[in-house]
Amino acid sequence: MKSLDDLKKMREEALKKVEMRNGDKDFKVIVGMATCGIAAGARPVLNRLVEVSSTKYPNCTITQTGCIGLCAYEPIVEIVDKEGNKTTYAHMTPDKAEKVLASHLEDHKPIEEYTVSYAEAHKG
Amino acid sequence: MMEDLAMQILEIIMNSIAAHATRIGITIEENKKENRLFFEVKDNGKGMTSEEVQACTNPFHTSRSTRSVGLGLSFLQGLCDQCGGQLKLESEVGKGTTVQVTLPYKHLDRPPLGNIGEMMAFTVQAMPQDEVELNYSNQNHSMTFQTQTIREALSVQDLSEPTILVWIRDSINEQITQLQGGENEESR
Repeated sequence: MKSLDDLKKMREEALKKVEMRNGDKDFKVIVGMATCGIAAGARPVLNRLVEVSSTKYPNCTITQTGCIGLCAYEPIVEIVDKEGNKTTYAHMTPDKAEKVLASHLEDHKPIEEYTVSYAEAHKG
Repeated sequence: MMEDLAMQILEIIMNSIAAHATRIGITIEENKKENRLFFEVKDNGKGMTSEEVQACTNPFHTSRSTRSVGLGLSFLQGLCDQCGGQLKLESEVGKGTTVQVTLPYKHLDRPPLGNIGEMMAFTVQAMPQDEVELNYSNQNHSMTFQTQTIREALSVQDLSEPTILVWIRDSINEQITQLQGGENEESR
């Protein structure tokens, strides 16, 4: 049974990890959750991001946004770093999104081939 | 179209959030015996005029200014049409909106309930400072989930932490599965 006490314990552990990293969130991860995003499969992507970050990446916050007008590229995940640099990833799947977290958040290396600008440049 | 009811309900919740709701109550009642599946989303958002209520199931009506198509409630109307259900909208400007849907439980075209825990976690994530409540019941049992309970237990206001969201999702799903008696929702 998942009790509130379990949650308290889990949360204390997660908070400890954040404190070890000076308590500041380094990245903001934004998922498009409008009708277009959800229809394209944003739901399992968001689900995976929340799940993975709860255990592995306490240095990010995950938020949702509406339609940003790039419906053809949904599911879209945007990552904004502390300096405000924004990377927009297109056609995300849960697995791709997990790779993005590993590379971008841990090694600070965006995955170029998954970005919207790459998809734009190589389409057709 | 939306593959399950949890997604449909999430669309309605997104409308509530767009209408600046700070309190959303979701009710789900499964009653196999009486062949009825009911759900309701009640918010304290800005509400709609009676003209807007009339127009809002039309896909070419939207409160958005960016584009002239709005699909949430049109999909819901489509769902009711496809399996002989009923959609009821009540709204008052400045007070809020209530969307109610009643579907025949055993209709072949009635989509499955879907992942309610996930739907609730996403809702809380979309409005981490606000109040969200879920009341689920079937013919035998019922359960309630309130964001208030978590805020009191943890003494935090913002519930957007992934650990909290994962817990919300899993604990709600666990309770619902238990209330359904471990029985597969699709066996009807």
